[in-house]
Amino acid sequence: MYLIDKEVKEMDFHAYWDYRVALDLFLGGVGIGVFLLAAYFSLVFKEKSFKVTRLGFIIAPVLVGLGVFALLTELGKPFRMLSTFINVNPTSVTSWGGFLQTIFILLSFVIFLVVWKYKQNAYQMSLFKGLVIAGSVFALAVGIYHGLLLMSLGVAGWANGLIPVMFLVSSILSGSSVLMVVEAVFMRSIIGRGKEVYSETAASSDAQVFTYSKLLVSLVGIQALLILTWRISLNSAGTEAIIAYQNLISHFGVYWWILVVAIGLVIPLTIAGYSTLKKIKMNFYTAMIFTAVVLIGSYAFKHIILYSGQIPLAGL
Amino acid sequence: MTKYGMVIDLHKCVGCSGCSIACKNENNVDTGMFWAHYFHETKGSFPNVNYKYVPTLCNHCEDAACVRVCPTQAMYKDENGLTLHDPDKCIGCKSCMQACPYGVINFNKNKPHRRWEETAAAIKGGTATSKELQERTGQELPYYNADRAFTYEGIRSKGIVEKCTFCDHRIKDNLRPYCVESCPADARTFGDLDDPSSDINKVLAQYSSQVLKPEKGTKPRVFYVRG
Ligand code: SF4
Repeated sequence: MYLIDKEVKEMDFHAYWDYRVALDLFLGGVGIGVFLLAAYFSLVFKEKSFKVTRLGFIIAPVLVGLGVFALLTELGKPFRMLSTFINVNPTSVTSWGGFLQTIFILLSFVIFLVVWKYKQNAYQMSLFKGLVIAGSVFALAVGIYHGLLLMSLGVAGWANGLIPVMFLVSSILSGSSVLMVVEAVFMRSIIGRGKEVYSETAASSDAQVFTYSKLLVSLVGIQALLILTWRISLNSAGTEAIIAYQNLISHFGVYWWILVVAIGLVIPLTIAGYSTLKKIKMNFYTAMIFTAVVLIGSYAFKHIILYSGQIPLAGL
Repeated sequence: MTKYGMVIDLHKCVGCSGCSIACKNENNVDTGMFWAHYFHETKGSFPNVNYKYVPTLCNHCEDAACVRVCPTQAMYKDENGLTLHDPDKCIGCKSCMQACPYGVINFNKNKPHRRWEETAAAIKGGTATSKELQERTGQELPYYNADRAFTYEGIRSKGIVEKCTFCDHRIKDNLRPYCVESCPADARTFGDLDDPSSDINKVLAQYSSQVLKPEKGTKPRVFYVRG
């Protein structure tokens, strides 16, 4: 009887956290990914990366802010949000999140203002470098926080040390892809009808050459490896973890294999792998397609992990 | 130091759900949610079948997961070991619901007790409507128990969570929680686990006890005997 009750409950389970939390994890992830790559460009290529990094530094806080907004609409009492800054609970990862995200948004916005005000000169300022390094630390912290938040709750489907790492890599991958497209669109608008438009950033007049394809193929490869490792780790993670994975597959199996694995991993791995092996640059359209599939994969991954973790474990 | 706990004797329990109803009355708990609930379990196959009715409530865990994850300290442990909730601090993030292994925390998605605004009679032409009852009694919530508001919001507002408090408003007056008081089978024993002469310790000494999901490491303070 109990089993039957549970099965009924499982079939039409009610998720306490809905797609708005998934949006926070996704948009926030893209935001920190954009920031981290923009920060790298600004420290390595300095003023040569002015145009793309200036855009990156404003896109990042806007995306993270939109994610936080989506999350706020999910709260029962969104106007009490400030209470998390007053009644801090050090053992609550959610509590850390309020601080991390706020500090990150403020820092990246300040960085954008510095670039806006001092233009190319900003890149030589030690204040700017300090801010960018601090921003990167907080970007990483926010990226880790996304998965850690789920992991910390002790729910069977989320209680795995690889969850925060997979979330972080997914975020950096999607953010880097978005910055590539931002640059491609931007360069295209300057060069006009040119096809190989984003041209491996800032490299033409610099000794160091940055190649998007190499970075992206590495990130997709790492993510694929992490997901595989995570799946294997579930075999020895106990009954609850196995049942949670079975829930994932029985409720979201088609979406998991098509959106997360085929669209989110196999296609981008093929595109970026081909470009890297052939030593050719992705053209504008390929870059757009690459980013689109990566974004679909990243959202689907976070959404499915979030929802499937909330399905009651039948029989337990 | 006082450390409150409860023992439920499953051999005495007749599965009448009186505790669930009594709790609702005492704590003004809305339709569709329970602070005191149950699950039942049938094991084996005929003729060797075992049926178990297990009353559930907040376990007031020593290492409460809800307290650990709450970002605003709205869930907290008091000096008597009770796991309590401050409705004014709660932001309705539902982290506690996610973390609680026992599913005993409820969320007020809608304005509570809306059913008293219903204008349709349960039996058409036969009974008054909820709205009429509300108007005739002059109370927003007929059957409202004002005592509940001594230590907690009498009715919890939309957008926050709520759960069993071991009737902290009663125990501060040396009364037993209402589910204990109202159990017709006397299956529940409540008391101070730190007092060696308390009734709860006598029951725990007499029988071997179990807690729900001990593997979660939360150290529940609701025990079951003779299951
Ligand atoms: S819903 Fe309220 S009590 Fe529960 S974790 Fe969030 S703030 Fe704390």
